[in-house]
Amino acid sequence: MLIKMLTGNQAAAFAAMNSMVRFVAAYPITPATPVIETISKLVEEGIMEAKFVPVESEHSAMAACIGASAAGLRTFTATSSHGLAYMHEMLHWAVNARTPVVMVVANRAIGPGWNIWSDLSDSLSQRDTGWLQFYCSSVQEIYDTIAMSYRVAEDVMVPAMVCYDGFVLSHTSVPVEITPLEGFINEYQPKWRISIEKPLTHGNILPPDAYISLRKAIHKAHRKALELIPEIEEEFFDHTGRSTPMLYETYRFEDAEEVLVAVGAVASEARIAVDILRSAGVKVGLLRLKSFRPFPSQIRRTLGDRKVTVIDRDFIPGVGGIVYQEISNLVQSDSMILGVGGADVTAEMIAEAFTKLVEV
Amino acid sequence: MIEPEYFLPGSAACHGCPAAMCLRVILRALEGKAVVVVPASCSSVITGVYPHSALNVPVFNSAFAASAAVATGIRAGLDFYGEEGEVVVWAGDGGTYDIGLQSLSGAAERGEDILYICYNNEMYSNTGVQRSGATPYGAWTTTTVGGKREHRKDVAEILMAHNVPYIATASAGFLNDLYNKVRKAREIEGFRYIEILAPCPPGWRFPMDKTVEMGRLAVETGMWILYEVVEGKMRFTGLSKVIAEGKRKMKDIKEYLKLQGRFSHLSEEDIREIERYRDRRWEFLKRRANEL
Amino acid sequence: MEIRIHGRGGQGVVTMSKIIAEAANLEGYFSQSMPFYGAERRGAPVVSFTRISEDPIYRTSQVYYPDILIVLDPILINFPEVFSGLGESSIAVLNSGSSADVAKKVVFVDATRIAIEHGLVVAGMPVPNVPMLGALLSSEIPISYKTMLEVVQKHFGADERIVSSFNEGYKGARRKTCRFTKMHFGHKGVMECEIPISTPSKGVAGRTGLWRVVKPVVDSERCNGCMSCWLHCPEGVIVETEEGIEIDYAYCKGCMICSSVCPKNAIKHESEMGVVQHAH
Repeated sequence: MLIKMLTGNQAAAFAAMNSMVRFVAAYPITPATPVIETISKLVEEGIMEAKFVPVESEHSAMAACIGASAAGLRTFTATSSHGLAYMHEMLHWAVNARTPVVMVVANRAIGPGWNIWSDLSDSLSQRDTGWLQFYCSSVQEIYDTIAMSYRVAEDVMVPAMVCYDGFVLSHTSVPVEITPLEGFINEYQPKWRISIEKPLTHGNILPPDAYISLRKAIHKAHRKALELIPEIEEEFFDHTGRSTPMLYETYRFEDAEEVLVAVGAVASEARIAVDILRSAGVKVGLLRLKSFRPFPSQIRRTLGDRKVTVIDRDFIPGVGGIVYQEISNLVQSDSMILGVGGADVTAEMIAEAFTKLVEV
Repeated sequence: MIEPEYFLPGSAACHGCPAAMCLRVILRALEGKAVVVVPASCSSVITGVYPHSALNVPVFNSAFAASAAVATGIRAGLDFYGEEGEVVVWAGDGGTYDIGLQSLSGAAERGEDILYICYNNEMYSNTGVQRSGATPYGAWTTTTVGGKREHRKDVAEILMAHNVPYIATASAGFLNDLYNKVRKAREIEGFRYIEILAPCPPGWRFPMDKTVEMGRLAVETGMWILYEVVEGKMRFTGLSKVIAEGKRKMKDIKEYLKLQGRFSHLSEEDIREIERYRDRRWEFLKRRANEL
Repeated sequence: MEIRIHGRGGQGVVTMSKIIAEAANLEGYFSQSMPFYGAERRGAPVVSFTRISEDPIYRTSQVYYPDILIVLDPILINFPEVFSGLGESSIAVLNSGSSADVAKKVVFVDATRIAIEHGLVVAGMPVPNVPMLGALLSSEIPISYKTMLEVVQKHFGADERIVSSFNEGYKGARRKTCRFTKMHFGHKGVMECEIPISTPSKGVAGRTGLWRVVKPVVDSERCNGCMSCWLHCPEGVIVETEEGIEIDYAYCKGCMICSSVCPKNAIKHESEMGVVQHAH
């Protein structure tokens, strides 16, 4: 087993390489920059067989990825915060174009004032573009999730975002199993691609009935992804021996009367908070939501009639927490906003906030 | 003599449309061996409505600002699969001069192997005639109702500063010249830029049978200058060469302006200002041609 | 009262719709003018809807059962679907020199001829909306001559050509009772789309030959086969055959560029509408 000390960003780059990515177009932005620096170097040294295009903006990064994906290449890019916001138009484009681009987002707050630290509002606020979105809680998970995302995205022809907290995960080094992926993922076989030989026009005017048909097809693709993901998780386990959840996972859940729901790095920290609360006699469990899109609405059954508190590392004026908003569509729940703008979140803070919330 | 057609009859183009006319010539010059990237523009409408298309070549529609970047990705795909043929961006002056300038500049600087062709009708015609960075001084548009107060910029000259291997200007009035320039560009690798003056009958307000005549008058009056820059070496071509060599005098610009409704309100001073601008551009380009 | 106007880009459909709504408002009615924007180019079919009511108008949808149907383009009269939704009491107002059995009550006037005679031509296309607004007064529209003319002048200015073409449309309009059979149109099939990919086809904008106002006709005596017409044709409808130059009239839009670039003056202008055209 190949184990290397890698940051989250480096793990992302290695995952792209081992997933047989053939095209990367990217523009640097803190804290995602090291992903593309690593890829640029791997390509330069001939270790990664891909074309790396240092474009002049994130808008162009996604545009180039869409073009390359439509032309039959497995594509990858990385961005963050303002870069993701600048891509917004092309995020929509990638969805309707049915180009299964995979992108990592090192989550970061959006300015002004400038704030380079972790905050999930950049990617969460892109939820309605139709991208699949997976939120990682560890560096190893970044590696694994990218590989599985290609399998899902390419099967259902919808692009996927793999998100992880900026600095907290992007710049933290841990030993990572960079398992070769051949066998689990093979050279991209596009269901359709641009070819000089085929005079097809992609994306011309779409009348209303065809437009709604396309939107329905993408909606169905999200549903299909929900069914497909457990099979892909299983295959991934067979290939790597690692059980990496893609939809959601629970912790100390069976006898729990109350539940914390969290995403990203905070969800990892929340495990400790659960332990702390448990030792204080609180019957609390954790549901870590990994897949925000497709949204696994089956968690309604999992949550049952437990009292639910949602932790958000995002704060949307006029709304509050985005994850809270989604969960409270399913079950009555409380909201807790922690770690916005990069504030550090400790298990003790979570436990304390939870206790206060319960008291209120 | 007659090659197959790749622009199919019955398109949604207006009567006398220069974009349809020139694209038809270009696709013949490329023998249909091209993927055409079309940003938001009249051409994204001209090609028609799903599930049909007027173009008998592969086409990829792109967001307005993104065509040169989309083309970058497609080029990489064709190279990967070993497919030979051009990736052609077919953009208007809105997608080239204004909203798409950043991605165009990026792709040019990176030396992407793309043939970028701008059909410049000197305004945003698709949205119904608004000013663009290519709209000439004095011209009426719906956002310059009293006539534009600024001169146009010149993207071909901006591309000169990018040191790309091939730049050419062309006009809907000289289609054989356009054909030849596309054939020439095809033989060159790297980023190539061709800009065509595309007189638009409804936008410029002239009768629909005068598209070619207007394209010729623009060159005859020196308002549009035909040239080529090959590996940094600039030379005038066609009628502009004859004018540059002093073998023919430029026609009075009024002959060009008076046929267009968009210039009908111009004062004598406006016309002199346009003339001064024309003369400055000639001086600049002549110096440029002599330098090398 | 619901009105539907059919025409082509460049014929002033949307302006006409707006003028009717504005005039109705001056007459004390609530009114609404609602263009349907396809991605039309000049020459392509355009539809606009006008509603006039004594009560506030809450509908924001299109007009399917018009009380008055106006057809600005003579060619469109040949398309049955243009007349969809007409009932026993509906009136059709046609830009045509003659009547047609499209509704029980038909008003008609040759507005194209009037437009050309008064120089109401933009970029080579006659704009018949002003004479048609004059003709519309012979329908059951609750707008007076005075009010309609006032709004027309507000939009186009008090130019003599405008006033006299309006008057000519008003006076020249004929009303006739016709044979009418209500038509039924089945639902179109639903168009599926999983990936937005289209295939090449002729006539993506329909039979664009119907856009023609003037027809180019080759004089083979004069033609020297230089193929300048073929080179410059924006649509690619000109081909060289053993017999000489042939034009595909199914798709030729009649822009007449072929004629203007012909060094031998061998392509003549022939009217499609029985109207005399100025020679090349």
